[in-house]
Amino acid sequence: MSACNVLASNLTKQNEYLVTASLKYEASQSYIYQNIELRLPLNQVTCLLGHSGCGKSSLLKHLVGLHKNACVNDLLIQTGVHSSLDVKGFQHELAYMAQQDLLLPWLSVIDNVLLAYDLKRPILKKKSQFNQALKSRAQEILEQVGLPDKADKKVFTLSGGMRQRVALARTLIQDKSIILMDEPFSSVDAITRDKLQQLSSHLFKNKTVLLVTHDPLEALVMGHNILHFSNKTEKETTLKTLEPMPLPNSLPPRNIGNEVSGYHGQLMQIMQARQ
Amino acid sequence: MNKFINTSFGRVLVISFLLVLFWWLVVAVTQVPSFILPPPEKVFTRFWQLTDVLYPHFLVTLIEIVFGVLLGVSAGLIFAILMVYFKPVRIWLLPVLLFSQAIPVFAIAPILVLWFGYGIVSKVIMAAVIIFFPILMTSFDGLRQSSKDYLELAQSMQANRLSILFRIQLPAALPVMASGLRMAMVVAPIGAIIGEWVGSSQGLGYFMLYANARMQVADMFAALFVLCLLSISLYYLADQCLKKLIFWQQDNS
Repeated sequence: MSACNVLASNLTKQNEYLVTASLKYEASQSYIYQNIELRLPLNQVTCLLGHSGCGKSSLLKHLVGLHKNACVNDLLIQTGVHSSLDVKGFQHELAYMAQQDLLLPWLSVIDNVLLAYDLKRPILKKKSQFNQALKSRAQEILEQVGLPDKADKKVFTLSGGMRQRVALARTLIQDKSIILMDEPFSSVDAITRDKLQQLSSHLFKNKTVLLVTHDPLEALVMGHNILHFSNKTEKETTLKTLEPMPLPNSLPPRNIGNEVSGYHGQLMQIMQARQ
Repeated sequence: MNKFINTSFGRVLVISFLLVLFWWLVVAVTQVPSFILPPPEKVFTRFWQLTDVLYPHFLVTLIEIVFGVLLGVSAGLIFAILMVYFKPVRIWLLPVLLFSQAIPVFAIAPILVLWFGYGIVSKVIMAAVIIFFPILMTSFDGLRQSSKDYLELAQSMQANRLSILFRIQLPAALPVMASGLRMAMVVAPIGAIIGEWVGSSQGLGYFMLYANARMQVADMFAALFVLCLLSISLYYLADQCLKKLIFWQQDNS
């Protein structure tokens, strides 16, 4: 992965990651995004808002390291002034939560939660040797996400909302400082979604979170910052940029009320205008 | 009674009874001579008289089928894994495999007997060859189609390839592979029997050929009956095991 050009103006503050990325799948096609800059303040939730197909999920997967076969997949991550961070190191520090719950149906709930550790187990070593500390940690996290009595259940007996909670527990138990989420709550009903948003907001204290979503309301409920993945036309070339969006001064998780609704309308207008 | 008919075993019994009844009616109505089509009761009498003779032949065929299935499944699975993981293997091997399937197994049976002798080995290989392709293709498809999302999740957890293969891809491919296995259980006896026809001194196929040469058609049918029982039992055994193994796929049949 070669570093892309970084302009001198790209000074990062001490307490944030500055990601600069370019992505192109095939040599003949145009860039999905080029030299796009993403600022991730430490220990805050940054919401990446954009319409379907704009490339926001691609950017998230790029950070996870899933575009290894792309033609151009430059990724530069900086913290502090001019100090560039090892991309591998960044990727070891993150946990990824996808749109689907991706629970493995042949594993019990607790084994699904412990998947990341299970995958690191040597291939011939038996599973029963999971250390007790990990198991009780898993149980603890299951209690935090509101599933104290489901540890030994088979996953296909769970409802959609419960499955998403298990996925959340699986993300949290990895004890990573960065969490990347790709529309994790888009498949559950509105009430469950609200509950999950409030819950995960509380559990994400002291984590640096990037949440990709197409729902302005979700961004307003959960985000410390909201960035809009939009097109900017400059000198007849269209560039993808991340524009900060207005949001209430209060801290997330915000309850859906008059204030949030007002901003919701405003965000919708901005997004429509930019389309 | 209703409950019994609703089990798959019950249905098999009922349909077998109806088929035997039809067979008996055909013989009774058309009066065909018994060296063309013997009536069912004669076949069952012969079956009863021949149990001691048929048993060793049955054992031989059973062993051929079981080892053939084991060999064919392992070979199919190994090649499928290689094809999924190594692109050169995939693009170079697939045409060869297709070509090999274009040759009817029946045609190569004499060669296999020539190479591997009149014993069990050539029949095991026949059975393995005939099931290799369905096992390979279903395993290959199952492994290849294992959802990209699962792989991405595992990659984000920094899992290595081997771990992903054994803990995610193989279990995820099981439901698709299971259909290949079920097919294999039904087709494998064909391989074993063809092998026995071409050249052998024991096995149900050999016995049938032997009885045929002596116009003992009732004996042939008795052996055929044993073979049917064997195939069906193997299929049900495999089916039940697979259902236990793939417990998360609940079908409502």
